[in-house]
Amino acid sequence: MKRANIKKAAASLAVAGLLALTASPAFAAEASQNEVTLNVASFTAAVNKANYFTTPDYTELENAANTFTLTVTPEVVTGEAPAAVELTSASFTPQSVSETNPELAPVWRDNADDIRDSYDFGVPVGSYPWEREVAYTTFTKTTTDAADAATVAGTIDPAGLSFSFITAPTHHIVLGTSGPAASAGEVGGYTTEGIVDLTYTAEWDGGEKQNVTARVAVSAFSDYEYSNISDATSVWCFGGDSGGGDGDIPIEQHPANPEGHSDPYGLLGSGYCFRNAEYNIATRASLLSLTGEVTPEPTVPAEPTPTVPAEPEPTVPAEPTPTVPAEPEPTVPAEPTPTVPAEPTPTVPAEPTPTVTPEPTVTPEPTVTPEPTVTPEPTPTVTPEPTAVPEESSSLVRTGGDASLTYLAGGILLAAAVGLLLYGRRSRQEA
Amino acid sequence: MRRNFSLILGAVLATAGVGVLGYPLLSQAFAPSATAPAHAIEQQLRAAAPADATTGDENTAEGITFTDIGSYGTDYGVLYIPSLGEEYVRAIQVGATQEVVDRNVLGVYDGSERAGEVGNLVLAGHREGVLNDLRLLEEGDHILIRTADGFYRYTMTREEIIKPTEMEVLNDVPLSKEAAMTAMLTLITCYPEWGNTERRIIIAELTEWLPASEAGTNGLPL
Repeated sequence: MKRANIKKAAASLAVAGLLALTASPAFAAEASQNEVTLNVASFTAAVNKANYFTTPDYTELENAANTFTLTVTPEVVTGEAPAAVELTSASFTPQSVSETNPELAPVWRDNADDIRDSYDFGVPVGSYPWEREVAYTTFTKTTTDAADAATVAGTIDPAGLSFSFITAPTHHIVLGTSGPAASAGEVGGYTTEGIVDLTYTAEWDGGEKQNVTARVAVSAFSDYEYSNISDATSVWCFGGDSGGGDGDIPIEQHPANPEGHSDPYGLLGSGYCFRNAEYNIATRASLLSLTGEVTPEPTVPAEPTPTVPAEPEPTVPAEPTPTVPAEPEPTVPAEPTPTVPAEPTPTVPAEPTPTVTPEPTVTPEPTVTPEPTVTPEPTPTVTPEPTAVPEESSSLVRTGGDASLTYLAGGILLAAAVGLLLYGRRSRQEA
Repeated sequence: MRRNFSLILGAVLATAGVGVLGYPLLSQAFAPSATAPAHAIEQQLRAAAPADATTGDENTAEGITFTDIGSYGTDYGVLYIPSLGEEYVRAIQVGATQEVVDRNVLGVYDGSERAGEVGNLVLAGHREGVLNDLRLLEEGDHILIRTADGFYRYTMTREEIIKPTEMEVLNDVPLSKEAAMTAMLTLITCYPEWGNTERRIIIAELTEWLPASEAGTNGLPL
């Protein structure tokens, strides 16, 4: 969706949500004094890219993750501003993660006459021949596994409640070209979709408390942009058994490659190799869609309020509020202030100076001497045109006789003959 | 005496005139056969195994195998024009010199691309012999070239009448300076029918390649 469309959609949602929220019966009854709603102020995403190419530590690679930041600001609709706002719960439930790597594949599809080329991007060193077919195909992973659930860390600020959540904890660069490693992950862009549930409590000076829950559907896309790949000068390898050689950075064996591979060229260890280039990873993240519903909880009366009924306690909804509010209010998406997600500044981590692998010496191809064309006649002239003409440099070969003179001569002879014969016959008759 | 002389001279001139007029026809009648050498090459191609070309070498591209053009005067292949009859079978030899074309075969111009290869394969032949009836060709007609490696089916795209000095017909794209994108075939013969002041050009583009093993199928000659 284009940014303009997102803005427009978000604005519409915000207005609609605000109106619906105000008209909500459950909320309106309690909102006669103070009314608060949530304002999704911003949404940003960043890729934890620092680990991808700068640290020869596979563990960090594996933990590379997307970080999306959703900033929510409480907004007073009517009444006074709350004295305090407290985030009571926030959760992110990933729905699906789609990864794509559509256009970069050809870059890594080079053959391997140059040994260095065979080491780019996660080629298992032992997969002879060195050339390989990289299947950077699109795949979609849908998960609700708890292991993929978000890590939520929030901070509370009455002026602007913000927190971040982390998704897709297992995204890392593709390793290998086939076999288990190939399915471990892909590099490129990916889309993460999920649901953010928020609950916070606003409290006023008079002791009034108000719970508000919000559900926001998030769909974010981020990708990587690589540059200067052609300038790659060295290779890093992870998980080696040779432990030596130019460009080798031996570290511990990767579990996916427990046996390791031999290194006939003495350049590398084994395991997985990354061609080191100026991988200027630019992270682009955008909020593809943002829909939500804001549901006010019943107001909790302040403790010392004399008008408290005889019942011991007002019924307060249990803290882990069901994601779908039980109240029959119309669920209206409401994001008062649509905010276009700011694109995160792609902070490219400083890459350590890679070890340069010496370029293999390229043996020049032997010069092929063209066979001389043998012609029966000396052909002195060769035209600069692509095709030389053997005989006449300036004209095409003659492929037919010119019979016009022949026919003319024959006609004259016949005409003369006819004349003579007529003359002779006439003379004979006269005699 | 004068009367007899006139009659005798008239008879002599009449005989000479008939002889002069009949000479082109007689010379054509006694010209080397256009089909015999073609059939001889056909026999060789049938008997010979296809050239050993491996994908990826310089003799193949996009699934097409090319046959190298040999040295001057050697056989290259056979040309068929089915629309001009089943017996329109012509031998192709290397070299578009007077000597070669006077053998009543098609001569391959020096610098031509191999059959099926992107660029221009240029063949020249006599109007009264190996390329007779070329005027009857129409756009869309097929011209088939057979070599040791297979059959190259070209489709005629246009006809031109040019001056003998228009050497651009030998370019990779005939009569153009553009870079070749397809495999072209150019046939050259003399024009008009009784003279050689111009050249008739038939230009065709490769539309199909079939390996030699397909001989006798797909409408290909055996």
